[in-house]
Amino acid sequence: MAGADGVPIKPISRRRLLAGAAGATLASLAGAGAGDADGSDQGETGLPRSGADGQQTAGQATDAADTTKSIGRPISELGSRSPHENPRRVLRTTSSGTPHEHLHGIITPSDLHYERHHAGIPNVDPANYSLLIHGMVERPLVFTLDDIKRFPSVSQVYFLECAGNFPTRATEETRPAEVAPLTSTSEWTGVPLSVLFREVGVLPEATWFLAEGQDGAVLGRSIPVEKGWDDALIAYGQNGEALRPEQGYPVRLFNPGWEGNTSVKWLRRIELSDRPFMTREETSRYTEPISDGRVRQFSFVMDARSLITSPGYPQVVEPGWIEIRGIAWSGRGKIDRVDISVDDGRTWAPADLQEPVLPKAFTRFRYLWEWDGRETAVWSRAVDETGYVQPSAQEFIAARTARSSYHHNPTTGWRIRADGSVVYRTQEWA
Amino acid sequence: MRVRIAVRTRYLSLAALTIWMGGIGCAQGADGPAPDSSPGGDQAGRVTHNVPGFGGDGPVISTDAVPPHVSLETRLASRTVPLRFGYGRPATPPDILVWDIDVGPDGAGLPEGSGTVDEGGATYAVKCAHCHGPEGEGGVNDRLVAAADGSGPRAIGTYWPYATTLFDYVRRAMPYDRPGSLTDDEVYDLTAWLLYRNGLIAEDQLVDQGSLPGIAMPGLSLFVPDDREAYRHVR
Ligand code: HEC
Repeated sequence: MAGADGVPIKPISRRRLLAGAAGATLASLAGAGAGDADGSDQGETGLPRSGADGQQTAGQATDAADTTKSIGRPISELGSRSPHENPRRVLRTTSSGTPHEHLHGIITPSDLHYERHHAGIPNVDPANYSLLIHGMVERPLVFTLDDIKRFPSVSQVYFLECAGNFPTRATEETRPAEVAPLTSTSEWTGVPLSVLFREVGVLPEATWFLAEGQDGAVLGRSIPVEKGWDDALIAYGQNGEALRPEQGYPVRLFNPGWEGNTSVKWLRRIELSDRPFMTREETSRYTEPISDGRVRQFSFVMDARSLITSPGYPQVVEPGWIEIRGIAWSGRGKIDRVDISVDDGRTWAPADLQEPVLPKAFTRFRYLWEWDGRETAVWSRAVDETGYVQPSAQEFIAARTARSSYHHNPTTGWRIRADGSVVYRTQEWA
Repeated sequence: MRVRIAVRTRYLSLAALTIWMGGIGCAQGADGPAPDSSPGGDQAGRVTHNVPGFGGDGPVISTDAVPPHVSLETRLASRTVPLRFGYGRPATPPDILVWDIDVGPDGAGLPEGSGTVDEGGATYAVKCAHCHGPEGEGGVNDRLVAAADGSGPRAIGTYWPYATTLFDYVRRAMPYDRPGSLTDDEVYDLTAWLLYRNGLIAEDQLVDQGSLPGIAMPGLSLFVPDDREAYRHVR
């Protein structure tokens, strides 16, 4: 067998092909996905195959593989991913998570936005949809979907994160998506809640409002009225189209920077009051024992956090240049800095932040690093514009002696073994 | 057709301009006008502007007598959003009645009716036990009865701060597979049984509008408000 230049060509092994074609970091990202639990196995990474024996040579692409020799697929009404791309959400019993290691930039494709529901996804007919706002208001009103869309609109890029989004019992075989599955970023379009507050004439003595969904749980949360005057949205758009059913179609509340459960989906009712309603989701759940027997309630804001999405398990990297990539976010505002450690936490240096850095949205960070092939661990640590520093697990455990599953945001890292295999840097949780 | 659009270019910072347009077509073909983003103008403030993508000679954009546009952001900040747009319709009492199901910690919203521990036990066995266990624990779903010595996972008797929440939640969300199917009396019965099983009321106590808000819950003293935002480090 000979290539175009007459040099004998051996069938290219998958490993060599990848290493040559894409470089260490990308190679292992695609390659190690084979047989992955999320079903993202991309076979031979989408590169053309040839011959019945599965062999392929560089100079010998078949007619079918040579895309310059035929007309491509025609136009269509609805686009779809390349058949070679097959990202999947991480499935859990009650949630599905965003596969961060398969994504670029800061926007989560809508069909990969994480989901968590308390009674499944209702099928809401937009023609029958209405939103009732009542209670301590001058004029209780009912809005149809068309009414809501007529109001002045805004579009903002915001992350959303479930309050319970940290694997305390993670093993080395934990993927980036499993370290922080329940967070995603979208561009949300809707009417500022403050506009509707003016429309109904919220009374000055109103201090809280109940937001209630029309799912089987009729899920309700009490929200301080200030959030409505500040930046809460009544959202109907997500990444340029209508909300996904999993995200509350046709209308949801969106509280930027706050724990996901407060952004009530399939919103049907808002009631203004002068006290919180003490629903089950703000008493029995979404409250966290912290220390000395105390339980924190109405802990809305999501603290700053970061996640290295590459390298990560189950990649295999090679010595040389590696771009460490990841996302950082803070419910308090903009990310100010993301520090990276390439020596298992001894020293730290700031990563590059991709502009624009938006408040309460994912910020993409990158750090170019030449790996010398010796075992180490890489870590990231976010600092937000308020000066809040993402804690280490030790700092976190010292601050909250009681265990709960909510509002965990410690730093995390990836161990890189001398053979190039990358595993989750496990941490002790007392 | 008279269309108002917001245009902002390097040259024109006046945002809202009134544009008179002849046939607007999608001029993406070869016969569309050459894009020209440099506006001409005259001393009177009228500007002619060839907007790429609009056919004809290009719309004439007049800045005469057009009040400057104020962005929503500015209006929100300066609280000059129109007080009322007039969209939506007044909510009628029936509109509110059918959806207003919440029960507050003070008992506001509790309906007529009452419940007993006995009745609650019977209903529980039929409608709840297969998911939550025959005695309120040990089922496939949430533990509803706290261990008598307070050990083990949090549950109603050790953690829930308000008895009213029990009524509110069971009525809106349970049984999980048939939410909203219970009568108010059934919900009172189940509330009574769950409170009794958690050691919070006597076996013969009637649970209703009057008694439920007054039932003392040990969980209440645990709760503290969030204090994280005042700090720059983990709390
Ligand atoms: C099909 C199974 C199923 C049945 C039947 C069922 N439940 Fe539940 N129950 C659940 C699930 C699942 C949850 C948790 C839901 C969630 O977290 O959103 C739950 C939660 C609860 C909770 C809240 C527990 C806590 O500590 O927060 C209470 C109270 C409750 N159920 C009462 C009842 C009662 C009373 C009945 C009978 C009328 C009932 N359930 C029937 C599945 C069931």
